[in-house]
Amino acid sequence: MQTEIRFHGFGGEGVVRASELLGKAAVKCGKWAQSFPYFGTEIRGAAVKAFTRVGDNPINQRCFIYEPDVLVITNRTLVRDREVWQGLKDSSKVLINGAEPEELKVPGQVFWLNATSLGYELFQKPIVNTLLLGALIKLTQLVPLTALAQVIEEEFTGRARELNVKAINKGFAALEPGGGGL
Amino acid sequence: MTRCFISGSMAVAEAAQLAGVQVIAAYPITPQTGIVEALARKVATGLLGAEMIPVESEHSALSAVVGASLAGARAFTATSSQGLALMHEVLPYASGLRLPIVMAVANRSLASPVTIFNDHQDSLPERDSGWIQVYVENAQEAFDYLLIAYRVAEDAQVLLPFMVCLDGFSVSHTYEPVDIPAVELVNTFLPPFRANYPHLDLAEPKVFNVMAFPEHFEEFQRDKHESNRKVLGLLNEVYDHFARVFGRRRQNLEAYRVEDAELVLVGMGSMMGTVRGVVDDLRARGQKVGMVRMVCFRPLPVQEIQAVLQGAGAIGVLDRDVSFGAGGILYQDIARSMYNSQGKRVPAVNFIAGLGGRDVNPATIQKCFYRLASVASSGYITSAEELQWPDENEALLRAWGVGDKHGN
Repeated sequence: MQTEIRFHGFGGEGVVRASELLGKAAVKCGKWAQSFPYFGTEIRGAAVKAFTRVGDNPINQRCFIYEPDVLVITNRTLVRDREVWQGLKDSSKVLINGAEPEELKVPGQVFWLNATSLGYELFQKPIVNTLLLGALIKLTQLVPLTALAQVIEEEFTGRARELNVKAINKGFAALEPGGGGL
Repeated sequence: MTRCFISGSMAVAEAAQLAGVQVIAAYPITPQTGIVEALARKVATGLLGAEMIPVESEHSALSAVVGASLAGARAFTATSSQGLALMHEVLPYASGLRLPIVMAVANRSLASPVTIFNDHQDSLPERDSGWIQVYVENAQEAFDYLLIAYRVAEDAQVLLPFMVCLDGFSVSHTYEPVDIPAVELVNTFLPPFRANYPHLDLAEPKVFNVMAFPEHFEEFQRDKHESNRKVLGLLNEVYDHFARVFGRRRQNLEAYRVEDAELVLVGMGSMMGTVRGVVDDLRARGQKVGMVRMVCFRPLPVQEIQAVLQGAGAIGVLDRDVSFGAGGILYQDIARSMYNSQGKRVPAVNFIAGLGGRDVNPATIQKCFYRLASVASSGYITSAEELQWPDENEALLRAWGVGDKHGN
């Protein structure tokens, strides 16, 4: 059993970090995981992809994820980019950061979370990645929320630690399991 | 032992720390920067008591490391791509002076056009520098080989520098589980350094880097060659020790499901993980395919290559590099190894893919096996079939007139 997750966003939105945190939480739970980014030269605001594989066995593949089980889009501008939807399956789950859900003619089940607004409430800044991770856990049950919280406690210090733990719980609670709108 | 979820770059830095490196000199370049960044942090916070020498170029980085090694220190550097090209002049000094330097290369192609992405075009052309070269598949292997590198490079039979090559991004920037042993355990495999070669001693001054005239020069070269050949046997002994201490066995090459394989694909580096997956898929469909992953590239394990490929009906060599006007670099060595093999001569096809970061995915590998099967069924290959580009973009080749007249 292996789950493949593809993140799309812009540099600075924490796409790569989210992918790493998820992988680390999976390994903490005794699973195998792999997380890697794809970007050009490091530029804030440029398109970034990150890939996470989580499985019960050591992972052989060293290539991009072409048919994701889960797609996470941290910036809704990207829903207009056809490349983002590449390889989507009917069984895929899609999580989009966006305020007002719109109908998208894509395969898979689409969920919306207004992570930017929740980020302003919590951090006074548009920090979205840990909020989306909380929602992702609710969608996939890949790892227990407590394992992810433990990873955040190890990786962050001070106020960032406290707020990001809150963020994953908040993201988890805010996601509506029915599909979040449409 | 602790299981960490870290990148290949961080795994290399952890290994360098556990190896107790005493001098580090390096210059940042993508995708290697993470290695030196992690080491700089370790030195700055006191985790690692090494001398960190900031330098103005890679040429100076390797020169400083050569000096440190001549002074009797365990020395380390890391680079990529153009940085390694800039070190080119210093590489044979390190091997000629018989210095057990270890360098990590986060593989990235060479310009022009400029790219930051992965292939083996930077380190393969340095195969003739006298350095030992291994190509790893993942972060754990990068960690393991860094320790093995010091152990072998510093052996009195060898005293040659050692390059540990890891794919840029697909290993350097990929986070995965890595088992990190305690320093006490590492010390039983790789004891703290004591220079066992002529080095700087103020009480007994020496001259290094002498000139050799034609009546002597060849014997110096011969000595490097003979010592390099000894590395293969020594590596196999060291793998035994490594397995006893850490419970994992490393090998000069990995032969995967080759026993009854009709088609075998040979290659190096991280893409071979994907190949292993495709071999399993094709085997599940009843196709007799296998894989050989080269780890040690210099010295070239010719006899081991012959042993694992002798039963194959056709051999494919997947190169992530080009020797322009000739073909893949690995292909030349595999074909040469099989030319004098005792078994029957079988067709060998060269596939070039994955240049400048183009993703090598299961479809690429399936194409290689499919084309190999068609060559194998005819039993011979034409010169047009010998070199193939499985992921060529035909539309782009046409639109750009690739290979056509340039200029007026």
